[in-house]
Amino acid sequence: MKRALSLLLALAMIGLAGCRGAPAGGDASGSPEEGAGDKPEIVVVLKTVSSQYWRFVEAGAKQAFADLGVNGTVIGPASEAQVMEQVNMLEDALSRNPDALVVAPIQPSTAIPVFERYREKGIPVILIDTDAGWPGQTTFIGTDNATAGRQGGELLASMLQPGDKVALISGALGNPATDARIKGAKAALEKAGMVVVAEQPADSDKAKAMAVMENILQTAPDVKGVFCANDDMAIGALRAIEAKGRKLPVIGTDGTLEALEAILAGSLAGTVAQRPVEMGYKGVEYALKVVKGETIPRRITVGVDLLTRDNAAEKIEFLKQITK
Amino acid sequence: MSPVPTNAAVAPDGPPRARRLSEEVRHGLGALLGLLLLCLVLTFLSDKFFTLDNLMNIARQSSVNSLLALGMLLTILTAGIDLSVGSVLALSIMTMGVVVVQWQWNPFVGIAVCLGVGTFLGWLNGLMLTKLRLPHPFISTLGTMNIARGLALIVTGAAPIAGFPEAVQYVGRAFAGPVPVSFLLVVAMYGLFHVVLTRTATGRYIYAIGSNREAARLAGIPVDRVLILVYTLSGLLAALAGLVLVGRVNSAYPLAGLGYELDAIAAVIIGGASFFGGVGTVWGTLIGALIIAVLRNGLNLLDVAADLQTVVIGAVIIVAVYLDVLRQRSRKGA
Amino acid sequence: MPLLGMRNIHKAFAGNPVLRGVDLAVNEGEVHVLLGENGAGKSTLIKILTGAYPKDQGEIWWKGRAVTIAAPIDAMRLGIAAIYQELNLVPHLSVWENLFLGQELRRVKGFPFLDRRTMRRRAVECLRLLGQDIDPDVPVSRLGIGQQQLVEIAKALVRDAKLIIMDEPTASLTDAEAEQLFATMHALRSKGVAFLYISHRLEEIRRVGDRVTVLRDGQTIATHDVRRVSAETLIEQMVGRKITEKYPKKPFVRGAEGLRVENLKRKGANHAVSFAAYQGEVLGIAGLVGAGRTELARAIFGVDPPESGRIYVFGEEVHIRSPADAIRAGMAFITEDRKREGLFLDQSLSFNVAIANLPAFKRRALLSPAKIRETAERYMRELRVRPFNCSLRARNFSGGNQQKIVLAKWLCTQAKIFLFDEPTRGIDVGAKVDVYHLINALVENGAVVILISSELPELLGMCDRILVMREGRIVADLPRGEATQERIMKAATGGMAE
Repeated sequence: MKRALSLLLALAMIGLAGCRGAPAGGDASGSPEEGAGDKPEIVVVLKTVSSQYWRFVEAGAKQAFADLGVNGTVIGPASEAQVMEQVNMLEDALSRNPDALVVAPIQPSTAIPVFERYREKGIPVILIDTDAGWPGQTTFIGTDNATAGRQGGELLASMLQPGDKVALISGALGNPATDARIKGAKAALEKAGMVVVAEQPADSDKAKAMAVMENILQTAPDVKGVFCANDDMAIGALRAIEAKGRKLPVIGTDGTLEALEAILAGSLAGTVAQRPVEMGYKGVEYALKVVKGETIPRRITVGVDLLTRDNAAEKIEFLKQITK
Repeated sequence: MSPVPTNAAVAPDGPPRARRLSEEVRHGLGALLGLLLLCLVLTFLSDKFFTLDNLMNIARQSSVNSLLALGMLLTILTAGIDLSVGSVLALSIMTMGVVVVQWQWNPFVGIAVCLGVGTFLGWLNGLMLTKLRLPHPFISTLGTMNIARGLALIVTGAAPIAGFPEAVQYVGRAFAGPVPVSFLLVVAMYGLFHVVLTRTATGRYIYAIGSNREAARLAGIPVDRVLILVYTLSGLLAALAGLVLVGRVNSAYPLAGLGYELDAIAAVIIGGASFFGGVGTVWGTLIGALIIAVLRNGLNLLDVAADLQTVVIGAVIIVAVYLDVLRQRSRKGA
Repeated sequence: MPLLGMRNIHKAFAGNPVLRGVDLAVNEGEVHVLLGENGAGKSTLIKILTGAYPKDQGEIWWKGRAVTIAAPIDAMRLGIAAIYQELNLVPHLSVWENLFLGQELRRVKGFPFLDRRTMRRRAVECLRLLGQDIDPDVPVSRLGIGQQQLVEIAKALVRDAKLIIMDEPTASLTDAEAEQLFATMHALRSKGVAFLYISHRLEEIRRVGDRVTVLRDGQTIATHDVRRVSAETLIEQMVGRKITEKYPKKPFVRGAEGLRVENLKRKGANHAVSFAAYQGEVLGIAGLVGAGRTELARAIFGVDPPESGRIYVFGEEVHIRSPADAIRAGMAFITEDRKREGLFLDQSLSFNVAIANLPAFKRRALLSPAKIRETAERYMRELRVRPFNCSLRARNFSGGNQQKIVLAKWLCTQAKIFLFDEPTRGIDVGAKVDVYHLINALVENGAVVILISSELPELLGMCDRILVMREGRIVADLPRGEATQERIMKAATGGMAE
């Protein structure tokens, strides 16, 4: 009797999962059987679907599904640390035999073996956000992180005097995207005559960045400006600075809502916003082109926006509208 | 004369052989039925589920956790736990990456180094538990978990290592016919450990220690030696799981295995083992690991968002253990 | 009118009667001693009184009024408090915090703010009442056991206890601490507080008690004024069972020396112990709880390796540092607490039987389940284990059958020297006789049997020679012909010889 109960429960759970999952998968995925024949099927696998940046990418992709008539789904693990889970998702997505894959790999090297399986089946692989450097990839669509960093560095330099001391807060050690940003920012700052007194990793985490900034303020109290490789860290650093009763220009990267609101409130000096929505949209758009047999370039750059008090409000409007 | 115990639900002179079988089988039966039902439901819900390709995907995807869960089962049988398996996995493969990819040593030496690092860390866990007398393996392995993870990050300054030679990738990557070699390895290890646990003195000692450590000592069982062996084996199996993982993704990265100890524990518990030691079987654990893998795979096929998947798996753990509690209660009561 | 009256109390567990009509009356302001052998029903009676067990039958009167004690809270409300050997204090909290634990006074009723000042003041008053100089702010862990016991009494007083039950309070106390306790009890007695004092120690009874009630086999035998009763009477009434064929003793011829212990000294013990045991005899070890009998067996078996001393098995010296060594030397140790130290409750009977000698069940490289089952079934038949199902878990057998499982485990090891520690405690009469038959069979086959027991009739019935221990020493060595209950009790209590 109890066993029967367990079975019932398992059943209920699956049922629930099935219902809840459908709307999240996009307009067409609720009834895969009907749309599958006439519409091309595109699977988008993101690093995660539980952070704001990736929600924007997701929103862009779904916008493209609707605009272009694609039977698509967007999936991703619960956090950006779940490398194997993402690989598993890629494998599972392969069972559905999609027409194209759009993917942002967490740890590019780990995904290459499964990419090879896509290639064997003749499914094009379009990378977004993070390049895998895999010869078989159809294209890479992303921000040029070094450029983003350089522009952020220039923005910070424009707020300071030559000779001022600045600090850099980077992402997790070995994260190529954040490393490239820091490298670009550093070059721009040094070119403008700034002195980099600290460069420390804070794992793209708000709380860690706060602790890192507290330490920097201890060791280099005369620091005049800070550049962070993402917005979460910029917010964290800002908190540490404000807690000390200081006011320093802090520049972030990404353009999250929280960062934009902080800019409007006058606490964050600025951010180098990527265009995640555009990235998601373009990913699907170009995948569709490949499916239709068109030739596309092997590298597609998505621009960045320098956001300060002057233009932050517009961006907020745009993002809020797209994620509605 | 000695009276028949009032709670004996069994007639005193029933056929012993048949009863013994049923007792053993019954133990894993609930979980097995659960797995079969899960598969049945998924087959109905998705036409992609019951295909050879997908089933082999599940076999591959379950193999890392299955190997970790086997080591975890050993520790949980002794009423212990090994929280360090995920980190041990990471440090083992990072070390192998340095040896094989950066230094270009012979790949078999690299495999030996990988297994050696895992074994050594497991041995240290055992030593801390028995010789330093740290009060509970939760503590010693929590320490090792952090140390090994930190070292795995330090080894390459957190950079992943890719480009392993074919020999290293073989277990994780190759297929024998349609069946992934990694799954065959899992079946072989489970078979081996089934024999070890049921048919060798050391195996029975593991159960004895978990069911009553003091009585085990008084029965002359070398408790410390067995415990050290158990943790050493858990480390070795973690390294083996690492080898499979490297083969699957042709890459070693320092965050590999992050949080895997929890999936391994979940597999062991869903498989009917008792957290208090002494109760649990190898096959139950394998079924537990397969249930988790099937659930994840099925939910992916059904496009269930990752955050909701986590909720479902949490619920399954609780339900599975609760059913076990009910079963125990009905057996003890009456 | 007595403070507490218990009339015709009955209690049975799973059909085994433990109390069969107990009467007890405790007056206000008296120290009433409850005397009885192990298994006489003292602790069951206490548990009924404190609401831990329900009674099957009988009445409880409190200050002349019939009352129901269905739960611990009922006993607490009446003013009955119990102090067990395992003290119930929180070591890291201060004395006064412990006194008010769970009964904290609040500044305003219903609000979480504690009235620390009043609590501390009342704690000081309470401790003063005890006539003891204990700092109320010191954490309990810094006090000695004796003082902690006094804190327990103070805790009872804070809760307005009128009757304080004390279960062998002096077992873990030094003489000086015991004196202090007695003085406090005297002081409180004059303030109308009554004590129900449980003890084996005959010498204490006169020192502390006013009246004594003797319990045996779940019945009240008699209540005496302590000043008007002799030790002999008490002992006789306490153990006074006729010894009949409950003990199927067979005569044997003493053979070779099997075990010799020379100057064995435990860690922390003041005395060394020497004795020898022979084939063909059952050597009994008598003594009160805490006399060091179990500790001696544990030292011999390597559970707690001794500090110094030598052990010889059949004339050859053996070095025992662990139970594994002892088993290799041919010893078996049937421990007192079979659930904690003997059984693997969640494992099958055959697992339990085979575990201590698994290598013997190998067939080629692997264990043979068939071989194990065969052996287990053989022992089950010999020892009459019921139900006859060797894959049933140990947990599902009754106490007597569980004890037989433990015995089978040791029989499996082919041991030559058997240390039995209270082998018949808590098992029914039929199983007891089975155990005695097994002991006979062992001796017949040339094994050396040492039997530690608190049941004097058992020792007198089964042993050829009885060693009596007191305070870690062997104080008497009585051959079967010379051993009587009185002599053993006198040696064991070390006093009250008239």
